[in-house]
Amino acid sequence: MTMIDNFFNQKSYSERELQTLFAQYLPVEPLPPVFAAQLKERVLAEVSLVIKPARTSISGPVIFFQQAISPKRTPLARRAIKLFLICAFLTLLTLLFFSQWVSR
Amino acid sequence: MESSDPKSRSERDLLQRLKRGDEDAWVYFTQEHGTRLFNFLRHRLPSQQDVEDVAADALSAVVRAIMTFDGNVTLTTFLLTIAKNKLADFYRRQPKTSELLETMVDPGSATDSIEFREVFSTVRKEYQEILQMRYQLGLSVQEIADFLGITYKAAESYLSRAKQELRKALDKDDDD
Repeated sequence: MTMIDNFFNQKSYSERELQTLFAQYLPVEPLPPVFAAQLKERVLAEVSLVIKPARTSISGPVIFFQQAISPKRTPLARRAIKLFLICAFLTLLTLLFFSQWVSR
Repeated sequence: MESSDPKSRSERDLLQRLKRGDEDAWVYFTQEHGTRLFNFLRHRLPSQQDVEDVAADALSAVVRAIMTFDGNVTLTTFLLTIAKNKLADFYRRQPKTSELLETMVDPGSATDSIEFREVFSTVRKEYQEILQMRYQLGLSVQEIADFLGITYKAAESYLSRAKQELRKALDKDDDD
């Protein structure tokens, strides 16, 4: 009678017993050391390529330089208000023109 | 409401660090989850080289996808789901190879271990998968449910059926 027979002569078994069974007969294999090192290297290279560029903070002089060369961008809400006022002004002018024309 | 469970709190912290590109966090993640990933794949791919290629692809994909990952499932589930997609890609590229779900037998394995693996391989593949995830890789029932895209209750009953089938297979082996 083998070890495994002894184990399964029990009619029922708990979660813990099943975990023991798998740990004993189908254990988790550790990563092969060479592959683990390659994997770590590849992941870190990918991180520096994908995540780091998006996350790089801009230092003081660079901010100053960027502000000097890039045109200031107005916030969207402000631009929308500006556009609305221009449209309203043009509409008013058109209405004034037509009212003058009709009165003649 | 924020969860006060230490496990989920540390998982959230780890996710934040991964998203910030913290190298120590990525090294930890690769070591901890890389082993699980490796064991998940080694039962499903024909050679060690394939396991290494798919594992590396899956981890690279995790790095690319981490910024959009909202933490609605655990990192393990997230990683294994990506690995499952990479496995599907692998078998799509090699249509003649049938998907394996058997252990690459270590030549140095003890007789009992080989015997157990033989019995285990007679269990239905879907059941082997769920048993392996639960008892070898240590996934929780919720993680299995998320991975399979089923409810917690369904995962629980699926697991129970898988255990019954394993039990039957072992009983049958006893009779033989």
